[in-house]
Amino acid sequence: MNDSFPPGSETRRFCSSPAKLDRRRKKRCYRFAVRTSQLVGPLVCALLMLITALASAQRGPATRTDVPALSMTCPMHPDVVEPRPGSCPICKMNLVPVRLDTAWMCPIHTTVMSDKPGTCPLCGRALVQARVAVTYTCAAQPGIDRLEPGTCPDGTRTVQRRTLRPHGNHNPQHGGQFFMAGDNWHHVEGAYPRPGVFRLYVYDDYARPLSAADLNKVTARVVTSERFDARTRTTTDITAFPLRPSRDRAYLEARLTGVTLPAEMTAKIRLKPDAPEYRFDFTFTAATREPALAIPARRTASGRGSTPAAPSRPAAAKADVAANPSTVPAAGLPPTPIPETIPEILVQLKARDAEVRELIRQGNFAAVWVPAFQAKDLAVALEPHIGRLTPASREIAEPALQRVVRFAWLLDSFGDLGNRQQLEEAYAAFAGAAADVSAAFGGAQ
Amino acid sequence: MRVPPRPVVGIAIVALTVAAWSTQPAAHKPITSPFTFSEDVLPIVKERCAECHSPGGVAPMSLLTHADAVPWGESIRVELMAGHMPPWGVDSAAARFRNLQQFPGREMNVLLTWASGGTPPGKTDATPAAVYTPRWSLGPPDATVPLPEVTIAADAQEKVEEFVVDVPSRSLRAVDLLPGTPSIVRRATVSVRAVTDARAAGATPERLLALWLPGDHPVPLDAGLAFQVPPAAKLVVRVYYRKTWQHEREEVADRSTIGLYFADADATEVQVLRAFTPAASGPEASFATTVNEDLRAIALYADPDLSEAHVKVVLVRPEGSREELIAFRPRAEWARRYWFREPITLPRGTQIQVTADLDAGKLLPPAATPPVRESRERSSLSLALNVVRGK
Repeated sequence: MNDSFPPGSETRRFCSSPAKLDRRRKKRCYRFAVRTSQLVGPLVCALLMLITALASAQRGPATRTDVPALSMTCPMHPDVVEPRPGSCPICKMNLVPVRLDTAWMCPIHTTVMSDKPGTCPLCGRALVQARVAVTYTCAAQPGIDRLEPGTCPDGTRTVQRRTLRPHGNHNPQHGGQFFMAGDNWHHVEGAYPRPGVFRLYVYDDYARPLSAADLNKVTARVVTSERFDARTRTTTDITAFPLRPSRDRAYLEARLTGVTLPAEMTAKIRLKPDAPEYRFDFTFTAATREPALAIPARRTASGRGSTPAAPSRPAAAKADVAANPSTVPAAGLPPTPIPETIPEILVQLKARDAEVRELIRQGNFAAVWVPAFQAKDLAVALEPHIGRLTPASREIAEPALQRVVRFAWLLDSFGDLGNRQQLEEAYAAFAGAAADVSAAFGGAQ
Repeated sequence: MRVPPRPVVGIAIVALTVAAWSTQPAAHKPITSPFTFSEDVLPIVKERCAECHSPGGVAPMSLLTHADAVPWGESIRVELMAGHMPPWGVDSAAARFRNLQQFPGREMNVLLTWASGGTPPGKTDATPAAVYTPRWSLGPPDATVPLPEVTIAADAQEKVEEFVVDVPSRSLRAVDLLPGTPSIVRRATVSVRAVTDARAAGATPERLLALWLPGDHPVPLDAGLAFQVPPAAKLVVRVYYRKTWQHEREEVADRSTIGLYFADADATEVQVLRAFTPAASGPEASFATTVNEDLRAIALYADPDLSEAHVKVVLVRPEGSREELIAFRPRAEWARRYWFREPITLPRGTQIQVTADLDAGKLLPPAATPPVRESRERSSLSLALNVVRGK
């Protein structure tokens, strides 16, 4: 919902909703109106009425308070969201208006949407937050789809329609690990439901399962052991298992042998015959579980089920990758506490560096951004101290601090894609920069 | 009739409130950035980016107002993460060079946080940004050479034009270019056409006078040093024109001017020394050259074959000490000379080791501009050092 009431709303309520006003306010409002009309005559009153009428026309009926603000987006690149008309910075197409909002939806039954957290009435799964576009339709004529609320041809009011936005839902739907493909359109979720079984769910840009026809075009295998040639930077499969469509074409599945938990495996996927091959690295510390099919709260006899489901992280936040969801950070990151002395900052920087390395090692890619961002905050905090360094150390420290910042952001970006090699290379650059910072500042105290 | 003040104030408040109310609502995009455009971003952009990213500048967009910058938020984010902007490409020791500004981590973080976090405007200022006007950054040249007018047809997007013009036989301390239409002159090389022995070993006279880029102020040679123009030599100016999307389907013309800055006639001639490998295969290449006389290095540039590689240059001196000269990512589109702040001594016997990681795309974010490579094959790789003789 639009949480920001337009400027001036208080003024409107001040005079037009007397029921909600306290006595003093009401009195003041009345006195102001009377004095105005007495002192400046009908002209000013007419002006005031005109202004009020114009303002009302601008805001529309009372239900407009629920109308999310207009944004402009690219028809081809939904990530582009701008406040005013223009052209897409990627493809130069004219931006089109959209009203964006967030809603809570069932990860499986995507038509189930709610204004608030809760559980799916169909399956009882906890609702997850997703990005939606809001339009207005008519109950009798669902073909009508407008940006503005209003009146239907049959005289009834329009009703709000919420449609999932591309990339609006980055939540795993089967308890697995969810990544975005490099084509910025497809998404995949890898699951390890029981020993020796790897499942790959392939989704479109709305995180909807691919149609059977499209899934048939996907060629994929899961690799449990491979050889990396550092000289040519190529990998060769040693043990690979083909991923085949399930009978109902809901997912691809491979039966693995020789795999024990914790298990690392790589899905190598060509989404169409002429598409490049993408790799997604999965680490499973335990078997994945489908989201619990809890009994919906309203159907329970006891009061225990009435507790609302814990809110899931917003879709914009990082996807859940770990078997243990508690390791996944929340969407917001509180400010990094900065120690007072340089040695203490360096100790913290080293610790964050180690955390990034460990998270990558664990395959918990979606959590990498947290220590990476903390490290870049520490690097930024070191910058004012650069004047204490010798010219030679400064020559090393200045670019190294900048590289810590840049590679922290790059680690954040690569964390969404699930390619271990890419993350490891970004980490190597990040760690090298952090080591340069430590070396340069090491003798400063 | 005299209107009493109180109602007037009341009316004004109501009118102002309604005026504010009737403005376009802000985008429904979560604002998570504590940095705003006017307070935090604009000072950085003015300092670092305005020479190109201003109205009439060579960049495809001005970034000097919030309205201009916001649509490019995602592009700014990607180009910064890719290390494409600012276009110096130096990963280490930028402070060692005269023509590079250090881009502090704090500033990079401000821009990335702002671009990723809802691009908040801060205090809005409707003042339009000033149109960029090119000027001679070293002051009026000693001599100018006007280039012929070039027109890019409406249906063409880019053009490369080579001009061969007469040049006085003089010693030069700097060469600059003043674009006639700054928004289309993307880069230029200025060199002397003279007979040279390409196979000569060791240092030979430098014929490349300037690698010109928009926004990159030419660095004049120190007093006592010069590029020499032999008698009867010609000046070869190669200009790369490219229209930005604002000029699509428009015919655009340019008439640029070359500016020459003379040096003393008895100045020491600048030489070039190349490290070279005739063949490169695989994702990495290493090659080296050994200095066979005492030299001082004053500048360095990569030849186009090294474009988009990650290049590291290390000096190994005769006594065994090692010094990293530069780690950088040259790009053909942004070919430049890197001028050392202080000359680097290269005693006879010093080995110049070059390592090139040719796997360019591995650290690019998904939406980054793919590498542009002018030569299709990396058949050979070379790196040039500008040197002067003596200790």
